[in-house]
Amino acid sequence: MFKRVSLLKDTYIYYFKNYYRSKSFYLMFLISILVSILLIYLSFRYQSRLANFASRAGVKLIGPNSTEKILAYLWALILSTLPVFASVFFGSPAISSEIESKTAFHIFTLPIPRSVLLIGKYLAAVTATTLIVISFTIIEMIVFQYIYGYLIIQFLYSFLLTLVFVFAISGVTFLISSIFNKNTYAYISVLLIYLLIFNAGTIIIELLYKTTPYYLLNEAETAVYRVFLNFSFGITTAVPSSISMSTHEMIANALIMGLYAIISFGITLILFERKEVK
Amino acid sequence: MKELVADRLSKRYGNFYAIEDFNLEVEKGQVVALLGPNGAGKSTFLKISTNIIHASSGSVKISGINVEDDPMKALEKVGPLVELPEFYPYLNGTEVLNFVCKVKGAVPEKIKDETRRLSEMLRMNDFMNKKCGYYSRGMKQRLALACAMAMDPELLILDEPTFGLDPRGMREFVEIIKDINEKEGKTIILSTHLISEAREIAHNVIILNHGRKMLEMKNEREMNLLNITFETKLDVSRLDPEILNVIDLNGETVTIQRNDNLTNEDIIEYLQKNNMRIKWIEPTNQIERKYLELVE
Repeated sequence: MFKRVSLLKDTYIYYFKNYYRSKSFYLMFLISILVSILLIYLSFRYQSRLANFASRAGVKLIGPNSTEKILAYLWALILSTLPVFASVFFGSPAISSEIESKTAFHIFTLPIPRSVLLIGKYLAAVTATTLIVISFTIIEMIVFQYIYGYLIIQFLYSFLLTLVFVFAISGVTFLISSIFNKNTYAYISVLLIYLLIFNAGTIIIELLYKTTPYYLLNEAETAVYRVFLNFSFGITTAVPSSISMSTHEMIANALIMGLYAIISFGITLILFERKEVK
Repeated sequence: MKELVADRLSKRYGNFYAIEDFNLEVEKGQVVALLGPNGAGKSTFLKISTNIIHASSGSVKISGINVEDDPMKALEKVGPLVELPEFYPYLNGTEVLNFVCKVKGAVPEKIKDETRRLSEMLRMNDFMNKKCGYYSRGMKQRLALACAMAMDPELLILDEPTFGLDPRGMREFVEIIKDINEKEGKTIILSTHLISEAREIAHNVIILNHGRKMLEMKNEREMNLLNITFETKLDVSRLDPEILNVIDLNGETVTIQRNDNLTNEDIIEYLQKNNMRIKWIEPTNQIERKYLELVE
């Protein structure tokens, strides 16, 4: 047991070094900084007019910190998409690249259980994505501290939910990557499945059954910004409200994301154990 | 104890057998060369032996441990170099080698020494701190061999180790492999499609074709085979089998296996004493002839 933990630590460090030195990491970091700059501009330029925008969108402002919540909602909208793109960079080629670039010939022949290799790489990818998320969140916090002089409690919920989402989306991208032996297929499939198929699923289910498919990952992920403003963009279920989502809903969404992480990672583990390099 | 045993090993893709019913026993300290054209099944066997692919039936045991049942334990004392592995591009050679030493069980104090020993042995000092993404093929080959040799493995499994190297690199590589076997007594299984390489390095040569073992023979270097061409066709029954064991007869040319204690001069003297006039005598190249017969 101790040996496995020690192997896992070494494997994690090995992969993490390769992630944080990669061009993908710096590109993702740059994107996050550029988006932050745009949001800083928006925050300082328009924060006094946010209440007007909200009333025009049909959101009735009730309760304390309403304007803070609107601004935080906008930042969190971006925050929730950062893990998606980071996962495309770090997760999509995670397994397919081992085959395509032949690193599997090096790594599979070492006396390390494949499960340890996979967990180490998954945690390294999650850490790389989390660093991007943290850098964005720190900028967000500085901006809010500067404008309002304090942070609302929903910041913490939003950040924690984002972390759960990072685990879930990384699990899904690892699963897709384990199916393919070519990076291009893995990249395209992740983007198609997450941005197109999940969203199409939401629209179809809403139209046909007049209900929000809360069990889809893209819906569960909305908790990251709905902790500020429980405003849903659903076709038939749009509920404009400045009241934060309930604790019960938050837990439910976190559990759904957690289940996605566990199930997709479990299937990946099975596929990875049987993976062959022809 | 046998270092490696392959028992009725098969790997099937649909109806195609990459390797079929393959048996092999490798003794400790032996060098075994798998010789065959592309697609003969050499790499398939080595990939199964190193847990890169799984057998459809049969088994490979290393030091008595089934690779498929317990790959971690079976590969603990194995140094594999399968095809030309790539390394993670943002890590440098030292980091790669340190990691390999760690997973092979090196204590922290030993890792630095082992990395230094291998870097010096394989002359890699110049590029060990460079990121692997910038390595040339030769550099990668050296690093891969260093990884294989890390932490003193008992068995080296090398898949076409000289493929893609320039003649100088090939020569160096062959010398290194011979040294490892002769000085350190390591068991080595290597695949190659170069007959000269197999002849120079191996004790045993196995010829494979279409996934099947066609022939297993001792290296002619070990067998002391000679081709003797006589001036006239010879009655081989006149030769004393204790001195010259006739392996093959082809017109005036006889392939013989000479007794270990005899020199070429002794043989010439023996033949002259018996009034057998020699035209030509040379070490023979049986592997090449057999190879060409078996692999069309």
